[in-house]
Amino acid sequence: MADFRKEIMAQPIPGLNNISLVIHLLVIVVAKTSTTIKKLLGKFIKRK
Amino acid sequence: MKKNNSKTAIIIPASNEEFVIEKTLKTILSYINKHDVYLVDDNSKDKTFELALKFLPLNNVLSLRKNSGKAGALNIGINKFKLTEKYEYIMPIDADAVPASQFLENILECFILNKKRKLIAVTGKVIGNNSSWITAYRLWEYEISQNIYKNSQNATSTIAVCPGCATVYRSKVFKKIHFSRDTVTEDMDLTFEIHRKKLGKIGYCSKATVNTQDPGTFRDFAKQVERWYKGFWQCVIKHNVPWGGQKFDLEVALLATEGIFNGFIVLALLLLSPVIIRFRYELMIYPFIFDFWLFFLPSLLYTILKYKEYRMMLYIPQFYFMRLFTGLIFIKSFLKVLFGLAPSGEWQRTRRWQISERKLWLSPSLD
Repeated sequence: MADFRKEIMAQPIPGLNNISLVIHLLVIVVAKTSTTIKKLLGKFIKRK
Repeated sequence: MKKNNSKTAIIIPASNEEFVIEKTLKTILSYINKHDVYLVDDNSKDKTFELALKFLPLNNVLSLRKNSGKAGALNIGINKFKLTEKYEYIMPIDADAVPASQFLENILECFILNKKRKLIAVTGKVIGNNSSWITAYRLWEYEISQNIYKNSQNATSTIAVCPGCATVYRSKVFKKIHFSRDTVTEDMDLTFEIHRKKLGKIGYCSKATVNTQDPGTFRDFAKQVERWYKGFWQCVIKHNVPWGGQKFDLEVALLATEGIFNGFIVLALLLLSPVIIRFRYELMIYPFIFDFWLFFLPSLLYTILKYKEYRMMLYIPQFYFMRLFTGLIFIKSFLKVLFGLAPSGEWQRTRRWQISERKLWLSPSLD
């Protein structure tokens, strides 16, 4: 198993062919989180 | 219910579309007033013009005697019918595309709800008709490209392409810019132009769906993908990406980087496979471990569960082959565009098909 892991990490660019996909996923997570926080803050401020 | 949606004009460029135009017009006219639907027949040799006249008023159908290409037909139609003066919104649509009955309402709602963003265009979600393993593969591609990439691009206002079959533009766009014949993907070219000229932001509405035809054979699929990729590279070069200093440049550069890596990994493994298999056969597997288990399989399972298309499980090997194959086409298209071997401006589309009595009928080849 250790050898296997070593072999994978020895690849020049493991997973780099999906880098754009990962970045796009992160953008969606950040955008959705910020929208939710804004909504919750809005509700909180209204209550106060 | 039929609505007199006089705010929006629908314009259909058509060249030899007798296979699909009747169904498209019938569907559109079941919920849009015929006076708001226009068709430009670009020198068709078949019955496209006659079929259009069966459904639309004579004043809404234009027949061009000289081939003008899709971009040319759209520009001529928008000008001749004076759509920018008569309407607030314009929706160019492919002859094979069938928008859902709520499409326009959803898109117009998106324009209104996002007033602060000052949207200049809103694009909907494209859904293919799943009828073979090739179209099933496209279903997965659409899910990934729209659910992940387009949603993310929407959040950062960097939508890279407004599909020709699913976008509504504010008509003022066409007072400033026009569809160009410089590339084979006039819709992507127009999107790049909107970003470059800073005409406004582009939104994405996943609730607004359009059904479109996907290629019926492997050859047609390969041709279509090659055309899209050639168009992408033509647009990159024409609009000087990534040197434009806009957020949009970063987005396109990211997409291109991913495509290039995909293609080169496959190409390198193919070229080096005799050596690798002889000495270190396990090296052939490693590059695909991340790609297959962490990206491909989970996203495919998601699509299968979403559409309840369990037979797609049988096609996993073919689908993965297609993924690697399209990576190679990306590199091939790049080289063709770089060496000036890619055409532009002409009608470039795949053959249409009809399903009748469980048989797949393909329209004649366009070659």
